[in-house]
Amino acid sequence: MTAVSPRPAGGASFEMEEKRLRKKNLYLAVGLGLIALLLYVLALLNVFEWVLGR
Amino acid sequence: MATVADTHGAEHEHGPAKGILRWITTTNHKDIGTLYLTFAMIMFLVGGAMALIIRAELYQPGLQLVDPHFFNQMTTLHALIMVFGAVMPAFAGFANWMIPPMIGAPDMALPRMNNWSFWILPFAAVLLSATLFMDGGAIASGWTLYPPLVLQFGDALPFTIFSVHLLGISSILASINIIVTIFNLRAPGLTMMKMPMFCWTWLITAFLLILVMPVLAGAVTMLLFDKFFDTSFFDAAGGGDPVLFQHLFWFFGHPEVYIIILPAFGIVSQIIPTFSRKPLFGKNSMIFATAVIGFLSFIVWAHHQFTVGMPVPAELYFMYATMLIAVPTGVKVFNWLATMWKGSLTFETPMLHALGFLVLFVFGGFTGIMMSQAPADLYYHDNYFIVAHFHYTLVGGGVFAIFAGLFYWLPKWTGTMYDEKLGKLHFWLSFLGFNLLFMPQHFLGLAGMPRRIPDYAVQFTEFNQMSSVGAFIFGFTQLLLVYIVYKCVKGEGEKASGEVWEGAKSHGLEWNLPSPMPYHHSFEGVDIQKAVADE
Ligand code: HEM
Ligand SMILES: [Cu+2]
Repeated sequence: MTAVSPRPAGGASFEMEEKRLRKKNLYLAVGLGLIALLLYVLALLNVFEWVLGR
Repeated sequence: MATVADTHGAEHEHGPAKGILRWITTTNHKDIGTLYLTFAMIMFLVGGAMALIIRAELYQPGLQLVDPHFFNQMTTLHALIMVFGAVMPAFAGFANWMIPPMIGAPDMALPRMNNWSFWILPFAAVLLSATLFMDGGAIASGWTLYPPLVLQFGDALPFTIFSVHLLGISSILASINIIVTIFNLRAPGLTMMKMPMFCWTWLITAFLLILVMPVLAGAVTMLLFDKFFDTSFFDAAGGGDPVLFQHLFWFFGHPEVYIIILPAFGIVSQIIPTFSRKPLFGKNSMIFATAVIGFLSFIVWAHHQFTVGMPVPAELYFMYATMLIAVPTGVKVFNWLATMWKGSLTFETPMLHALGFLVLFVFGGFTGIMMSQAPADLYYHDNYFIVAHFHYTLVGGGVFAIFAGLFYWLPKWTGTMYDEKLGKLHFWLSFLGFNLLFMPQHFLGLAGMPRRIPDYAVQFTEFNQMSSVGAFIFGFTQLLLVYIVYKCVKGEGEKASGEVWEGAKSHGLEWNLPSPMPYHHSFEGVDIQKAVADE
């Protein structure tokens, strides 16, 4: 094992760790993407107008 | 895919692929960093050429070189290209090169998406530039894209909007990658609070980007609808309101200026300790101040709209909220000064640029506080005082930090020291040229010269001439920068050691690696646990 492994200490075999890590990366990325999408939709729905009380 | 180092040792024994395909298909954070930086450099020269057209026209009152419509296309494209094409990609280049080695990761978390976030950019830039050659030329509304003016431009408008969408997508993808990398790929033992300031400032910047880019995208989508599908989001005749666009734009626009300045803060926070031979003073308060600035940047946007006729309570709110930003910013400046206090300072080129940043950024901050006074801003608004303010923060702050980072890390990337004499020459010519260029603009503004106009009253002539001379000095000095970087990349110069700067090892993981860092597996053979523990 080289020193750079980002996997957290302990447990499972490395194969498993990599799978887990990729899943973790993917979920976080998709989550952030959804937040961006949500904001886009909110902007289009003119939430600003409502907030600004126009 | 190089997400995790261990499982594919054999397939990564090779170096980079050969030829152009290496750059098109690369998923390597170092290659992608280089691509971002190269792209930024090209855009910097393109946007700079546009600025020189502007300053050449403004050398004398009256109209000499270009017609007014083209002049306004230049101010618009100059700003869009500099902000989205030069400064932001340059910081993304630094992020790609330096975040993985700073946190002990083998690469970015999502390498293929990384490739894509870069390669969207050249297409967006070409699209944007191509509008210059369309019927009626590029849009000439200024980078703020205000309706109804912006809706009056022809073929260029939909292409510009598409380009803005692409630029936004690219930024969001890059931000997602940075956040995931920082959250999931830190070396064991490198806690969030131990993470270097550059990573911290980029983390917060990435969140700002994800939260505001979609709002800009929404706003320009509505422009598109108003233009082509008969909606009236921003058209009073149909029950809409043009001021709504301003709110949407500046809800993006003010955080955007912090998107540019926070990574600059990060770079300077790496450099000042190294050349003071002391740890960064008050690092926890630095992190906290960055987060507070990030938060405040969301609630001050309408200080760009003091003259639009908001209700008085709104004017007051945005005035006080804006003034608040000076507090965390002051914390940062204090900490940088305290880091230097009683340090054994040396003034190599990166440090010179970092100090140039400090002086110029603080100056720009002061004029910002002047303009945050709503009643005073009725006068400053839309005149050259504003132009001077934001160039002190964006160029004096942002671009000088980019120069600083470039000289600081170039030896680490290439394994070769840049030419120190030429580096210092570049700094001094840039610093003097910059001040000659923008200092007089404060006085032009105070005397009443409006921005975005190709002609002016004769009493403004002398200061405009100073400004134009400064512009050409600053502009042509950047050719020297290209030469210095070229020489360094070619390997002409002294070999750089792994540490590069005396004592740098104690200032970050990256200085424990050889220069240049290995193409794959930056940390091969380095005891990362020990390096983290030594931090
Ligand atoms: C102490 C912090 C700051 C304060 C109080 C401040 C305040 C202001 C105000 C009130 C305006 C609007 C003036 C007007 O249009 O009448 C303005 C414009 C501007 N500021 Fe700042 N500012 C600060 C820092 C920065 C920073 C750090 C940047 C960028 C890195 C920046 C970039 C800009 C830009 C680009 C504009 C003009 C936008 C345009 O109209 O095209 N400012 N600032
Ligand atoms: Cu602002």
